[in-house]
Amino acid sequence: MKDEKSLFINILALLILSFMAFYIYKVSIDTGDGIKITDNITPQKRVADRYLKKNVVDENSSYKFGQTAEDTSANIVTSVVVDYRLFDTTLEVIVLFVTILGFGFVIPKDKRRVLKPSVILHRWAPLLMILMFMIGGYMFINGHLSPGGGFPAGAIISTAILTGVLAGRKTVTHKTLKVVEAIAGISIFGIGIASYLIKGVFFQNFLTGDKIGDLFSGGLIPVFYGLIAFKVAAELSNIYFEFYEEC
Amino acid sequence: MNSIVFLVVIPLIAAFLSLFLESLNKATMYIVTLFNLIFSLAVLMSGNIPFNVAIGGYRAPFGINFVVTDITIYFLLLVNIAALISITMVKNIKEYQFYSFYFVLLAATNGMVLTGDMFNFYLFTELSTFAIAGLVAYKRDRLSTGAALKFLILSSTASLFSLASIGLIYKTLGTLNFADIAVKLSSLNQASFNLIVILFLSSMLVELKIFPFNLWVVKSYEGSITSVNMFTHGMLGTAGIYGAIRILLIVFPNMYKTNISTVLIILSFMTVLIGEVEALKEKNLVKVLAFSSMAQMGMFMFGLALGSFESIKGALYLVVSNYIAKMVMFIVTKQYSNAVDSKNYNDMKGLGRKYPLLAISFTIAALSLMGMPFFAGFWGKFSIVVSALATGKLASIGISLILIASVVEGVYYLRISHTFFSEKDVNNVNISRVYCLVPFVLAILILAIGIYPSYVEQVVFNIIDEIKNAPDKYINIILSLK
Repeated sequence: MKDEKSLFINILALLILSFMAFYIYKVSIDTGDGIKITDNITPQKRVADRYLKKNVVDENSSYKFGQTAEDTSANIVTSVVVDYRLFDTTLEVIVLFVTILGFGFVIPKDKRRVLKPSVILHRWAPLLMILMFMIGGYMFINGHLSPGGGFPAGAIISTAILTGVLAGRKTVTHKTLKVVEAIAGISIFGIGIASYLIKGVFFQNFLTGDKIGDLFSGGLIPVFYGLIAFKVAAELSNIYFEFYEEC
Repeated sequence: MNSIVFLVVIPLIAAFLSLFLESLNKATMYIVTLFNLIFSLAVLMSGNIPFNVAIGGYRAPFGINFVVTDITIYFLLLVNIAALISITMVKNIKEYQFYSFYFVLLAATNGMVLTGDMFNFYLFTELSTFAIAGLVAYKRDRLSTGAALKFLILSSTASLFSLASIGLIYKTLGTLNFADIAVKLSSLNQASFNLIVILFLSSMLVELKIFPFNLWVVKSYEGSITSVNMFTHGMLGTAGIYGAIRILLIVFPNMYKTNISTVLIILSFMTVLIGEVEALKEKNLVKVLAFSSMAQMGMFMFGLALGSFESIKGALYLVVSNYIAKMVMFIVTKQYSNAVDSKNYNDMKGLGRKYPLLAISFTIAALSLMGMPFFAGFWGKFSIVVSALATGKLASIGISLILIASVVEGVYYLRISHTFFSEKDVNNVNISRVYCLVPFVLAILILAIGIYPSYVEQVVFNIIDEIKNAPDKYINIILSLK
């Protein structure tokens, strides 16, 4: 009886979902007076067109390997996130900072009983952690060449620290995390100010002259991604410590 | 004038530094706030306005830009002055989180006023709501944590809608810049435009405290300390008003041709009604102020939704009068309620006889909110009523509503003032006379604006002028930059 009821509910939910999907599809191809969420502007007038060709500043430059177009990052998503709209990304980092600060502020501090970790996890945790650190490091060092970047790298590194916490190994203390977080945060804005002192514009990429596709290319992008990775890692690890505190 | 970005960057660096400064936090707070205030004054005096700053060196529709025009600089000053007055109320706070939240809030409200980019505006709004939620939860008791959660859930849901709207704008128009959107909007059809505006309004209305989205107001005012109340009112509220003016009047001016403005008028009626009726029956002074500020924002929205320049002028006067008057009232409420250790105004009998400066300032602020002649609020209500007379049926309902609301405000505010002056022995109460000065100076300012409004008139004229000639005074400044 119970199964039949849940089956009925599932079918109903599927029907409603497919109805909504059909309606969204219909809306998206509509050409009449209704809501139109298709492009209204020719592609050449969209800002993304210039991003893809990397000719925002200089109309003649083009995106080719071995050339020096704009910020010389091979990954175009990265060049949008960390160069054209870098200021938004730095603010995203602050959003994470505020959220975690508020989280640590509001939740009550109780003493919790911590279970002893299993021997297998305790022995193998260092190996796992080293692998995770390597992947995390690779992610933010290669963020301007291949998919990846500061945020996922930070998440992976913080998972490595979580593994250490679960395995009962002392890796980092609260104080260290706080220091790392603050230094990374201040340096992000410090580089912004440095750019103002050097070039006269905030958050401008002032390391130029490298070629698209090289490991050391993209100017300041790998630096920013590294800082973001450390900051995100420190903040996320902070949350794990809040949950799993050995008072 | 690229250095304008310091207004956002310096407070954010201070937010990180405050993790370690411990007892120096309070001094840092004053230094950073004074820096912001003096910097914005210097920009006002420099004579370079209007100008446009491309962050990262990418010009306007492609990168993020900060724009400083007449509207911006006046609201920037309002936000920073509110910050300076509010932090004088901060005492004996040791938690570093409080200071971090404050710095983030300062940066976010300054950024909301300065930015010329839709998604950047959304991020600053998000930051300011998170910071306010953290500050509201400062007392960490049941009431304040609940209030913070309520605010957080409501504002995050609303910001989800606004994010959807920004996504739709980017999908249809291919740009995120305010000026570029305003230019390209004409290619959208009516239905899509309505969808975008309705979705975006939902997040604006949370900060403007308009009816279906104002469930957070009373609880968070009741649950937080006075300085946080003043942050919410003076910084977040003012920045929200700026957002409404900039986005509704300059980016989406076509709104007045649709019936969205009618819906806004009806919502503002509901806000005024609910605010005034609830304030009338409330005994807790802080709650009275919360309901009254809701009602004032309803009147502001009514002025804005009417859409004529006269009514927008009235709405701006209302903003100024409400801004100063509520500041006075919060300070007076704090001093009196600390003195008698109760927030019920019936317990504050006789305090007005011993400390008349505070009670007189409260009365002046109340008379200004009521809209009596010779006080700042008069010009606002007068302009809105005059412009509503010429508009139509729905607006004439608004006239009677505003006049009735004035009477109701008179009843509950003057009742409170009367309670302050009624006789009772209060010899064991002690309030430092220094704290009486700030509200008194502000109250004198209200009188000065009411009797001699020509300076404020000039400011309001400049703002209206920018709204009238938006293509010349805002859009071309941004898009002509190479």
